[in-house]
Amino acid sequence: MRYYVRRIAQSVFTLLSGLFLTYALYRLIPGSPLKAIMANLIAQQQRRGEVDTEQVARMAEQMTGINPDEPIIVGFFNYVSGIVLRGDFGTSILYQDPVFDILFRAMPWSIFLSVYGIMLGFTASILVGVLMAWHEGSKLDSGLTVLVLSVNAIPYYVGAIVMLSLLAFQWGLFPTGGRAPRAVAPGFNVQFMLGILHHGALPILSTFLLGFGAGSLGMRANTVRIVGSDYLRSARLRGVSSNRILTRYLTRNAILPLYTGLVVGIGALFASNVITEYIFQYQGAGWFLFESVVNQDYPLIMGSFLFFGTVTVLGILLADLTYGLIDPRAETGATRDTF
Amino acid sequence: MAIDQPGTTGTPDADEDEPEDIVMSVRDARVSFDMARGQAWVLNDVDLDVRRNEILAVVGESGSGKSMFASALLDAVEDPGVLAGDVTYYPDEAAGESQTIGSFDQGLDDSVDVLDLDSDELQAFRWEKVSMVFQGAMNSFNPTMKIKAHFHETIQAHNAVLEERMDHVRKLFDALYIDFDRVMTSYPHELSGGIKQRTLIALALVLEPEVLVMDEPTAALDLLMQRSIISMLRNLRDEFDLTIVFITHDLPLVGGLADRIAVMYAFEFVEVGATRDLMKNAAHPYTRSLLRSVPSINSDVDEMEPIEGARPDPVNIPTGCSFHPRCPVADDRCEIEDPDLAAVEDDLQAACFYTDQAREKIDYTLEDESTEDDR
Ligand code: SF4
Repeated sequence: MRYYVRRIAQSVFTLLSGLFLTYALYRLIPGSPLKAIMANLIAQQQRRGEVDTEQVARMAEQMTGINPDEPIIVGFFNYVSGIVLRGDFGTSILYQDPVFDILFRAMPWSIFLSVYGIMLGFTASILVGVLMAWHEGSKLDSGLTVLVLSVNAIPYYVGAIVMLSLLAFQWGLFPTGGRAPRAVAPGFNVQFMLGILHHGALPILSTFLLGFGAGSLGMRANTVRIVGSDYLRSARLRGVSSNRILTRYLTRNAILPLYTGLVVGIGALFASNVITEYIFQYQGAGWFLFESVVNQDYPLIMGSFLFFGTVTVLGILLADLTYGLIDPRAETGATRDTF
Repeated sequence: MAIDQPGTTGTPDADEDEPEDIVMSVRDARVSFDMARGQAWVLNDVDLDVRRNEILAVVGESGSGKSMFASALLDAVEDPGVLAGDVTYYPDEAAGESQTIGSFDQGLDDSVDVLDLDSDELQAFRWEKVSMVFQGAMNSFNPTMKIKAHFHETIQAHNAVLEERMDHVRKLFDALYIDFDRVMTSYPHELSGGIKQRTLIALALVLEPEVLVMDEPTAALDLLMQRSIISMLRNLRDEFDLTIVFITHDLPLVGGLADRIAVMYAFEFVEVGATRDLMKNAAHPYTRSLLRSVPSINSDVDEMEPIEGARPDPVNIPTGCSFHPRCPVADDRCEIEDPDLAAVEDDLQAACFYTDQAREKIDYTLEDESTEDDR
């Protein structure tokens, strides 16, 4: 129990440190967005005559949620306490909407993309890995190895752009952007659902390819090791069916070493969403992060960072806390004491 | 395979020389591998009979082919090894039709040609008639499955009745002194080596096979654990009507256990005989050297000699008698001619031309313990 508490506390600490770093960097970088905004305001006032530095600071604070005269620590404390006490993540400069509302509306779309991409990708890599190992040394094995290596070698964003230009622009099979058809009324109707799938297909496919390459070679190696194990031979002689050997013996045990990597990878995949969503003009949380960076929408950047940071840290935490459930040999706490 | 009929016991012949009741016979069994250096023989035309309800120990150094012999009994030689020859199983006629556990149907024939079975039949034959305990007890269980699941899947794979079989397992656990409820709900890593080994034996006996093949079952255990398992095996044999083929490198270990001992050298049997005769006065130079190299409390350090020379290479088995490069009594004839197993005494056969010289030249002393009955 103490182990769980400590792991959760560690995660919160990690998240806060990351957030603080983002906040501090934003304030400290020369020519930072904050300074740029202030310089803008000063220039505006200069054109009108006198410069009221206090008014500039107040206006800058209004626009960014940061008081430039506050020390960084105090400002950070105010930011965090705003979130914790009032659920106030600040207001987007660009959209003039509360950051929380923007991200909250975008989040389900990102999760939709990622969850499907990840699930399909990992399932495929597990199946392909076991398949390769089962037919180790055959033509099928080497063919699939070549395929996986080439998928791995192509960066996912290049794949995404190629898919977009061919499948969407050239052949018009898929929409070139957006999350849902505009002509259809949103809701639980078939047309709208299909529209969502149609719009999500390419981004999901690109996420899928990212997850697919990563897992299958590792899965293959683990499976090959288990194929040669004593307990597999013993199970075969006992007459256990091939089906059960494949699922309960091979796949189950070969996943174990990959499991942590898979769950931690979820965080990385969410992060890859930033690029994927931008390429496909898919307005999820990643798309807003990109927009906010381009437009120096400081409160939105912080909010998005918080979102992606939380997802990553939660992924790692989840991997750690659930490993004991899938591998009975892992003793949570006593032996897995360290970071 | 006539079994003693009440009417025939009157003949003087049957009284003295009861016909052997054989449960498995192996003829001309050979296992070959294709290796880069050439073809390797890891079992070289061996013949051996396993008698019903005996404990037969097969003894040899590692790499002598003894594990191959064990696998051959279940037609379980692993690829790329190729097994040829005859392995025949003779069902117990006395047990008759009452034995209908599992799905193996031997039909009307009174013998089963094991190497002729198709894959379904073989799958049923293994574990229902002949089963095996592997060398690696530590790794013979799926690490992510509870012990109980191993028993259940085995019973189900052979279409046996679950409750009835589990009742039988309870009996096995009692005979092996292990706690049924605790072990069944444990994961393999939660059990000690000794318990794991005994559980593995119970798992091998779940379908009441006639023959249990044990491949170095005690190799990974400490001496005390070895002794305790050995002492259980005799009871197990008596209680469950078993025939046990016990593969080991440790000749003195089986001195108190086995009824008969078969010694392997260079992928062949070089001496086969009743334990008492073989241990007391072995006829083959190799067996005698093995016994000589046994450390004992009484023996001087000077007296203890490991056998000189290298182990035989499976690709290049020496011509003539394969032991001649290491044999202290070898002469020219041994380099050319290959001796066959021949009777030396009533129940002792050796493959050597010069057993008398061997007995003269190589002497050994045994501690009494090894021929003593185990409690
Ligand atoms: S036959 Fe010759 S070489 Fe072989 S064991 Fe006998 S004496 Fe030694």
